[in-house]
Amino acid sequence: MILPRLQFAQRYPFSEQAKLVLREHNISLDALSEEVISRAGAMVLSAAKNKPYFLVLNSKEFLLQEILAYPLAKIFVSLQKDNLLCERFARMQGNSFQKYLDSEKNKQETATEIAKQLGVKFDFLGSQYFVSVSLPDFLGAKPGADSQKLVNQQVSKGIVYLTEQRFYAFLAELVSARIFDSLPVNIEGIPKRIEDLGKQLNQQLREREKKAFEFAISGKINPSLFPECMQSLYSDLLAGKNVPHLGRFYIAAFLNGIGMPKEQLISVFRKTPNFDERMTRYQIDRVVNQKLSAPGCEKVREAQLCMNSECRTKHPLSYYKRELRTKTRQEAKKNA
Amino acid sequence: MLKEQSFLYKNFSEYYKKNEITEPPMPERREFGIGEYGKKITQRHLSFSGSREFNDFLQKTAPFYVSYSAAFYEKPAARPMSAKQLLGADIVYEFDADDIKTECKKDHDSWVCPKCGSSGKGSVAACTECGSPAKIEQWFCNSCLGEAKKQVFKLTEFLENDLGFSDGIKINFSGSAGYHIHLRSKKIHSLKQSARIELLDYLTATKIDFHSLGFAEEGRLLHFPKKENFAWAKRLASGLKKMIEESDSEKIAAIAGMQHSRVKAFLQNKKTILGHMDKGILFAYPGKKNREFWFSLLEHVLSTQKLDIDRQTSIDLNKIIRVPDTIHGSTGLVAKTIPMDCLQGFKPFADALAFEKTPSIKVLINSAPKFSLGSESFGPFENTQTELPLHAAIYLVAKQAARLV
Repeated sequence: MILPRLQFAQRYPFSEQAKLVLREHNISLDALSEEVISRAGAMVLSAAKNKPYFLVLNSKEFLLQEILAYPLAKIFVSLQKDNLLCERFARMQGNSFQKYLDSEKNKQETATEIAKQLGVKFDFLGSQYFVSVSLPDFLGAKPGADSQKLVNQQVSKGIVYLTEQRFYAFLAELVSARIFDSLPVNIEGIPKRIEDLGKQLNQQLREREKKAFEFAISGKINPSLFPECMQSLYSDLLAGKNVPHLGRFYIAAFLNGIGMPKEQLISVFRKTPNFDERMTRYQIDRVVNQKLSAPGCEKVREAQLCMNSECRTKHPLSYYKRELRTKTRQEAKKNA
Repeated sequence: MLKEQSFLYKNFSEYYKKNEITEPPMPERREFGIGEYGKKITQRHLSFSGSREFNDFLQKTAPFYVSYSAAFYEKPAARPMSAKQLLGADIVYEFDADDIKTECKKDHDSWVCPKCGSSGKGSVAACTECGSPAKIEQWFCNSCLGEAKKQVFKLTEFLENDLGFSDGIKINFSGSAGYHIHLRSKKIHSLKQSARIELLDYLTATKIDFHSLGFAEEGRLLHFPKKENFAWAKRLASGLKKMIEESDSEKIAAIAGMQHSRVKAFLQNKKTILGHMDKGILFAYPGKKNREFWFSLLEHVLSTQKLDIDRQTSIDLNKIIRVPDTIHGSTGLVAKTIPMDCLQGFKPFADALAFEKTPSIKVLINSAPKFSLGSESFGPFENTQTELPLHAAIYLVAKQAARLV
């Protein structure tokens, strides 16, 4: 097989070319080599760690391993039943796409090819704008940066006019959105070997998570270190005030994120005026079992629950971590 | 059942017997909710096999409030929400007069403090005596509903000119405080929630970035979008240009928070400023406040152009909203569908009446400001026993401002 073809398929593993390579090799899940399995695991771990995944390979053997590893990585991600991991995996693929595209000599040609494969309707323009894209297509991507938001584009009569740079960034976001939508993949009837490997990976991921949050799990939860938004929701709940639905969901996801045990979490809601244990348990179960991610500041602001826009953080969890770290350090100094 | 409730029920039921409700489209795929006297939603997850069954239900039960889901489902009555199996969803934008600050609120709204008993005219968030949350008695008039209507016009301009959504726009009066705009085209149905947020952010100019729109900064130099521009860039650029053309130095000084004499002197260079704009540059305001000057004006232009939309209604896929052409239980007015070409002349307190003037009804009115229905004005009333035309009596009883005698 020609090297450039394999390189294209490895760089853009969601592409038709990659699917064709998979069909040509037609390897069953049972027969995947240890190397392929290990590469798939590496992809998932990179996603979990929010690390980039970018490889420049010239060996046909390695390229093929990567191509075969991609669908397996999607199976591994799906086996974890973790929405946040799906999100991270999709984002990692979008970021990789942008990096690979930037490294291409014939960037425009590749972008055109991928855009067509993604079903994007666009026209090249000879004017100050590089392309025009239909609004429904543009809305298929979830903007990662404010500059990519619709409000910051040139749009007229349902057509979005993009510069070259913004077009490529849009494609990367679209790749990410499409991969996210394709997850979880159907895992019914997958071989036991793969399922077991998925479980092993799950353990590794849990270990990692545990380490990341051990500061919270090992210590007592300290509400005085919560960011103001979460502090306010938490104290309102304890005071028996009627917190809106979204507020309840966000504080539950936040408390779960910092490691509050499930029963304790349920008891936080006990004083709410319309407390229904069955319903609360059902909802908390969803948050805990599906590991629904704690909201970032953007979502908190969106729900008009932000109490302090100056708190210099992007995520309430990061705020808590930072405060906790500072406090631990201060206490260590004091004790020394 | 209270005397007042059965009075309203009887009349609402008559209305539904005389008027077939043809909204919403695809009734068999929608979730419905109904409310009782004083409570907008007491029951949800209702579904009907079609328009006929829905109308039979309305005639029999004459609910005080009827809402439907903007979303449509495979199994609209299933619970929990995920079991309904979402097939798609319209978008509904809502403009309420209570969200808009208007002078008329001083005349018709009043507040009372549940803690210390203080009261007053107008709309306040907290008691002026003790600072506790105040209970507001809201009324609406042609003036404040007119402000909400202006927003509807602005929205349709955005929808058609910018976003290209000219099909499937349906407008109705909410029956009480404002207007609902339903977007029901195929383009809309399949949009994901993130796309709905993007549209809302577009309309409300949330996270707008002047730099990305051509007002870039390069050291002290500020750019102005000079080439072919659309949408927000165009709105901001022409708004800013208009301000300079008008050169109202007092207004500009107040907006920018600068000394009037300096602004006046700066605007002497009007021709140069406009000439620079054509070349893609914002002519520098003297001193250290160049950036502050121009960005204050930009912020001002933005504030006059952006829309104030209820976020929750438009992005919550599980939200249910009043069925157009049904009665609003807090007013007895119809949530009347308004063809686009009739919007300008639409008068809520005349065109959305559900009931006749006759017979007259004896009522004891607790308190009500002056209000109009049809071509007549009523009130103000304060502990008054009187006889009112049927539609006015229903209006006050539904608002819980009057009792039957």
